[in-house]
Amino acid sequence: MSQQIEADDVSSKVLQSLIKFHGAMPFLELTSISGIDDEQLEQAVSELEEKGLVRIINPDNDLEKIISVTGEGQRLAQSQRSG
Amino acid sequence: MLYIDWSYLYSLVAFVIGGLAGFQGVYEKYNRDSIKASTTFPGFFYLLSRAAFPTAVFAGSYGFGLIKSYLLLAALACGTGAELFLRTKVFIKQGPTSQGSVEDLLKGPLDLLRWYQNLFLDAAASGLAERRKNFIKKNLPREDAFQALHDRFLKNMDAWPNPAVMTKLKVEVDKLKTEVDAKNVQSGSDLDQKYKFKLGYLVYNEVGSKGFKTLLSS
Repeated sequence: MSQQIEADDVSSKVLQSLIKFHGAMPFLELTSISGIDDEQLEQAVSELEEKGLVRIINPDNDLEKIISVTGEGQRLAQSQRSG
Repeated sequence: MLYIDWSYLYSLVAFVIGGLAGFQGVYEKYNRDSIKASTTFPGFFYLLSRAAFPTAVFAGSYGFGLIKSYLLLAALACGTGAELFLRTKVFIKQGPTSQGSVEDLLKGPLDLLRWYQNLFLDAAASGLAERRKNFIKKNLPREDAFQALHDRFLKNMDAWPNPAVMTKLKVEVDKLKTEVDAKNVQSGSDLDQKYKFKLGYLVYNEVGSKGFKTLLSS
């Protein structure tokens, strides 16, 4: 249960960071700004992608990878912020 | 002989009004990055299309003879009128909300405008991210390992005019250095390259492109 909450916290932090940067960030910028560990971030991003909350551009190259929030992800991040 | 009707130039007034109204949408989303967002392909296309709509209304109305005089006034009216039209919503019906209260259902061109705006302005965000990535890629010294880059940052940071910013940035850079040491990252490895990029993004986001070059470029 606590692991679930931690994972949700990371996902929420990812979404909030993306919103702060207008909705899209290079993957390595996201790791450096959010302070989240690479592996944890990678897992959170792929979970968010599965849920349709983010899109991954150039997924196979960490130097080129860009994470972009979808409309659904934006709505969720905004509701988290106001809630 | 070619005849040019210079009166069409009044459509520039409608073009400017449409463009400004479009830029307001860009500003709402991007604030201080509005100009940068407007220069991405999706951002520029969005602004151009928003400006083109009232321009086409004026040019069409003039071309079909619906407007014959007071052309400046007509161009102003087309610009503001088109914008007013795009921002309208029409009452459809009243319906219950999930909280049990009653809510008006409104639909209109504004919904379409919001969808169109989001479509292009969200794409502009990816363009901005791509641009930041390309900047880091282009300006990070290729030959240097993370350690060398880190040393250069420490050497140059005292020259930065705002010590408070440098103190804050140094805390973050030190965290990266600790990670690199803990993972025993080999110079020139893929992981070393990743940490160089992370350092680059940290510096770029704190001090911008000029600061990046001052602090990290060889």
